[in-house]
Amino acid sequence: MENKYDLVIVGGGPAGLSAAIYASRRKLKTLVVAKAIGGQMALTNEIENYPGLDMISGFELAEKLSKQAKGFGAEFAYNEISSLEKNGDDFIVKTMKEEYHAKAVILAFGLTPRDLGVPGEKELTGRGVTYCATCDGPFYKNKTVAVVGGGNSAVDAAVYLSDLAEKVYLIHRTDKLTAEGTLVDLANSKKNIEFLFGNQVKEIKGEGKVESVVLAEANNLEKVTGEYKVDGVFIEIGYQAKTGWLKGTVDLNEKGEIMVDKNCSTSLPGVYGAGDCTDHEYKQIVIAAGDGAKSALRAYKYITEKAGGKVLPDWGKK
Amino acid sequence: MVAMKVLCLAVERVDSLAFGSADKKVGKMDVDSSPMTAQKYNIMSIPSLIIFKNGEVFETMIGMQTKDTLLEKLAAAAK
Repeated sequence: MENKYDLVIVGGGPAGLSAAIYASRRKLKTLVVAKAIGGQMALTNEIENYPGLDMISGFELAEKLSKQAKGFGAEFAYNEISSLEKNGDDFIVKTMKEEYHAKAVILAFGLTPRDLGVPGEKELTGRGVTYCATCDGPFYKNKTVAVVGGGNSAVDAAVYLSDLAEKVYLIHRTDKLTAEGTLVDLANSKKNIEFLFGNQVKEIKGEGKVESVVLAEANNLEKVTGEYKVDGVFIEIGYQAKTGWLKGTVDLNEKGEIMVDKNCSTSLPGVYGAGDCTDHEYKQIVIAAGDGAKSALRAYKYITEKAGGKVLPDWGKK
Repeated sequence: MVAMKVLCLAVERVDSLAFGSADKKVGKMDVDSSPMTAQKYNIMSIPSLIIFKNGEVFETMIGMQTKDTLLEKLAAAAK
């Protein structure tokens, strides 16, 4: 069967791509299924803490990793997986229209920006509502924008946008920003950033594109505090593991992250988790890459032992 | 710059799907150097993808698209 693989890796960030490198070097017929290559990493302008590389853009690192994986024989499908099920000894992973069979599966799809869940948000996404300041910021030159959130990414976005936009509102639930001190100082020094503390977004309004944002008291959604005319709303309230489709298949923690042991095994034998979508505490590129390697070696061990073969160590000649 | 690279990747992908048919042309546009054109088509997010049919906008898609969706939309446009 054409869509039969030893290993299917869900996700194309540093975890998935590193897993692909390790798996294909073990001669596992490997498929990476991902909507985009690089994940969150690809949207990072400068990475300064990846060992051995002084500085590299996230996109460049993603390209290098995928090229390396392809070089060892890994295949790629640009698609989104919507289900995983066990079928006898194998697993079936499905997209909307296609299905792949695999002896083992690695879940490495990272984190997705958290949404507000307010009226107008979904309808106006890409029409003024955005989750990536560095991507879409340039469309808002000399315009008025709102940034929602109080952490590093929100304050960073507000500072970045303040150099492009005419006016930036920073909307946050409390009066205390949780971003790093230097970043907060920088935001305070920008004359065109106005802080709207103690507020939450009640609704985003607009016909075809964002026109205004309605705010309410942080603790009382019924108490409207004002409606602000804006051209864009940048939502920067953190990330979440989108694992709803895995409920009942593998164990998840209270945050929805995939629970794994120190060698990346999940509660379902033959299925492994790697990188930011797991319950590992530190969400870092180098850790995701390490997870990818571990999970691939585990998958190799699982497949080889099941077939009655001998598991070879990871050193020595290829 | 990041956005531009993401877009190029999206274009490559569409190009590979449309490959082999002379009636489909895939192009890319840098919104930084052509802001007026971006505005004309109401582009507010990157990557955005527009399918033109007979010179008219047939469908506008925002964000990275999956292969399933792209094939579906291209097939609809070809009808």
